[in-house]
Amino acid sequence: MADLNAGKRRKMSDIQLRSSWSNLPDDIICLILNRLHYVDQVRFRAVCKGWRETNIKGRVKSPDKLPWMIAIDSQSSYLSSPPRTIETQACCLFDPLHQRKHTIDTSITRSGLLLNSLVVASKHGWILFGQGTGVRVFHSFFFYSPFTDEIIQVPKFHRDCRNATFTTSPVSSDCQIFAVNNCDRKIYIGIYRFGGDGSWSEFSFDVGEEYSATSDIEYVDGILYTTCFNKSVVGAFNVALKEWKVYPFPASEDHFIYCGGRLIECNGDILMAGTGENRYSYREWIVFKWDRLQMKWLETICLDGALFIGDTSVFYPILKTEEELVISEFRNTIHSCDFNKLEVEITTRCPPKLLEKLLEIYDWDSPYLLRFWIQLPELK
Amino acid sequence: MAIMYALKSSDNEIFEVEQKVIEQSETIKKMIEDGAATGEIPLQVSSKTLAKVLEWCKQRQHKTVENENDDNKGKRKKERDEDDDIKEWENKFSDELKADKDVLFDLLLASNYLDLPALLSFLCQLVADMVAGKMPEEIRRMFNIENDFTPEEEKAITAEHGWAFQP
Repeated sequence: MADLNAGKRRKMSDIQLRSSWSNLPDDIICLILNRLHYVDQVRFRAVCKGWRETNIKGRVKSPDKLPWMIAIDSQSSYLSSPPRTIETQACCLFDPLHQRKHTIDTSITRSGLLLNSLVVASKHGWILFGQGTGVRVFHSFFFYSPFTDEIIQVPKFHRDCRNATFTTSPVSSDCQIFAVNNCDRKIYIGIYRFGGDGSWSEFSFDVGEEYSATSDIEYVDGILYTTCFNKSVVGAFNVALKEWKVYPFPASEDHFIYCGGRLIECNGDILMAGTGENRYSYREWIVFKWDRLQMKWLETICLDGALFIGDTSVFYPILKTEEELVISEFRNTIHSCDFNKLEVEITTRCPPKLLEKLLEIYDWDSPYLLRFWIQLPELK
Repeated sequence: MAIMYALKSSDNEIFEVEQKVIEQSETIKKMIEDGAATGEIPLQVSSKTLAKVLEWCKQRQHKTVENENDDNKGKRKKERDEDDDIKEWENKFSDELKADKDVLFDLLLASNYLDLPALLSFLCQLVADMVAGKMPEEIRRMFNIENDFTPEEEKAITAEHGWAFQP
C-alpha cells in the first residue's frame, strides 16, 4: 500500500514537471484546433513542436463552411489584353468569413506556367490546370496548391483532351486523374493513378451519333459522369467494371432548359445544374440529382446547402440547425460567376441582401482576371 | 437530504460536495457507480484547481435545477434573464482565467481528467478565442512557450504557408 502511494506521488511530480502549455494533451489540441479558422490553425501549428507534432489526422474537421476564392492576375494569352507585365501579376486568396485577402507570392505566375493554361478542376485545396494551345485542348496537366505554393506535374497522356478531373488530393497515393476526349464517334477516357506504375491507362467506347462533345465531367463514388449538352445526354463510366452507359438529360416540368450540364459532387451524389427559362421568361437556375435506384434525374427544389458554380464548382452542405447566421443564410442558394468574361457576372438564387454580402466578402471589385472557388486543404 | 461526497485534492485538502454537483464528472460518476468511492475520493487535482472546477459545476448545477422546476408560464422571460446571468458569470470566470494562465492550464487538464465535457469545451473555446488572429510569436508570449524549432525548421514551416504569416 505504501509502495502504491509512493508510485502515485512520483507520477504526480512528473506531471507537474512536464506541465506547460507546450505539452497540452493531443485531445485538447484537437478540440482547440476544431474551434479555429484555417489561418489560425496554420499559425497554431507553428507555435512549438508539441503543438505541431500532435497526430491530428482524421481528428480535426475542416473549418471550411464556405469556399474560399482564388484570384489570379495572370498574363494568360486567353484572357489578358494587353498582356500584363510579370511585375503586376499577383495571386490572392479570399477568406470569406474573415473577409480577408491574402496575397500569395506564387511560383506559377513567376514560372510562366500559366501561359496557355486553364483551370480544369479543383478539390481539397488543389487546382488542376490544363496546358494547351487551342481553345480547351490540353496536351498536359499540372496541379497547383495556392495554400502551400506547391506544383505537381502530371506525366503526359499521349492524347490531347478537352476535360479532366481528379478524385482527391494529389499528395495522396489513391489520387486518380481522369481525362476525356471525343473524336471519330468514340469517347476516350484516360486514367492516371498516382500510386500506380506511372503510366496512363486508356479506355475507348463507340458512341455513334448519340454522344458528341463533352461539356463537363465529374467523378463520384466509382463513376465518372460526363455531360454532352448538344445531344442532351449524360455518360457514365463505371471505373471498376469498365462499363460505359448513356442516359437522357433531365427534363423539367416548369422550365425550358437552354443551358445545362454543370456536374457537381454533393455528399456522394451527383448534381447537375443548369439555367432554364420559366413560363414568365424568367431565367433561373435549376438543379437535378441523379437517383441511382430509379436511374433518372430528379429536380431538386430545396438544396441542403449552397452551390458555388464557376470554372470550378463545389457544393457546401449547410444544416438547418446551423447557428452561425452568416452561414445559415446561404442555405438553398446558388452562386455562379463566369470569369472568362472580363467583367464578372454573378447569377444567384438568393435574396438581394445576400448578394450584396457575397460581393463584399469575396472582394469582387479587385481587378483580377481569373477567379474561381477553392476548398481549403486538409490541415497538415 | 442530499448525498454528500468528500473529494480529496492532490495536496490533501477535503472538499464536501453534493452528489448531484459532482456527478457531472463522468470520471467520478463511474467511481461512485463502481463502488470505488467509499470515504474520501482521492483526485489528482490540486486544491486550487479543484476549487475552480467545483465553482463551475455548482453554477451548472444551479442552472439545471432551476430549469427543471420551471413551469412553462413565463419561462421565456425567465430563461432570457437567466441566460444573461449565466453569460455574465461566464465572462467573469473567463476573465479570471485569462489573467492567470497557470490556472487555465491546470483547469484544462483537470476537466479532461475528470471528464467534464461542458467545461472542457468552454475552456477550449476560450483558448481558441485567445489565439485567434495572433501570430505564433504573440501566442508564445501569451502562454510563455519556448520556441523549440531550429531556425531551419521555423523557416520551412513559415515558407510552407507564407501568406498565413504575413501581418
